Amino acid sequence: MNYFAVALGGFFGAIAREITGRALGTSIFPVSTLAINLSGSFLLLFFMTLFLERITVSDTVRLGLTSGFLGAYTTFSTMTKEIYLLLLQSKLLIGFAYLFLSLSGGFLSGILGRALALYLVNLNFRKNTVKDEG
Amino acid sequence: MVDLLLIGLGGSIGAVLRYTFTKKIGERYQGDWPLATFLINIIGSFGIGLLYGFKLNQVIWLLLGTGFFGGFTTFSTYIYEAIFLMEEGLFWKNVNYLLTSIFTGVVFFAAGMWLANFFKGGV
Repeated sequence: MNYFAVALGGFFGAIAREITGRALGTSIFPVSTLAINLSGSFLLLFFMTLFLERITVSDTVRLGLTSGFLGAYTTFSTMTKEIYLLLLQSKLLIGFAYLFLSLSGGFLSGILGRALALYLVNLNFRKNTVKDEG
Repeated sequence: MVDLLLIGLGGSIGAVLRYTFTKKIGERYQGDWPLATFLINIIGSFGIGLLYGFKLNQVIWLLLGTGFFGGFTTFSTYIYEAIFLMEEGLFWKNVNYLLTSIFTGVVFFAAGMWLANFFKGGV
């Protein structure tokens, strides 16, 4: 069942990556992969934090969404390909800017996703505490 | 439509292989370093480099390149692991993991591409 969930999530994740890529189009700077990887990092940290902190879901749902969908939606190999091809074409500045933005942007997006989830968890916790006391 | 189905098929196989590989590595290795994702991203970069170098037809590229290797490798888990290394107080290990993965990945993509060109007799 877990394998099926990962396969199903991976199926839609890869398709979502392609559709997002097409919608954003191509330019000299790989905007689409950057947007995909940043949004995917935000969502993964958001959901993983919720699942770790409070919200209980079945393994099937968790794995389908995280290892399956978001794992396949974001991509590492397309990014390394784009970095290398930019460097090969002597577009050093764009290549290194892309590398730097992927790392720092991905990291910040992840931190933001985690912070938002923690905020929502605490908000909900406080609301429940007040309700219990009242 | 057929394009999307090919990508989806490759992506689902890639995701299952990543999940299985991560589980198997996790049973054997318990260190701090996120070894499974590191190896997955390096192997995947090499694989997509090979495919890119061979310049096969569009169907194979969509199925194996965009679909399989795109879905096998992952950026979000890589960031997730880096953030958790930092939260465990391993700040330099987090920076090391982020940088080593990306530089090794680029080198392995280049190696795959050059190897494909070598086999084609192009270099």
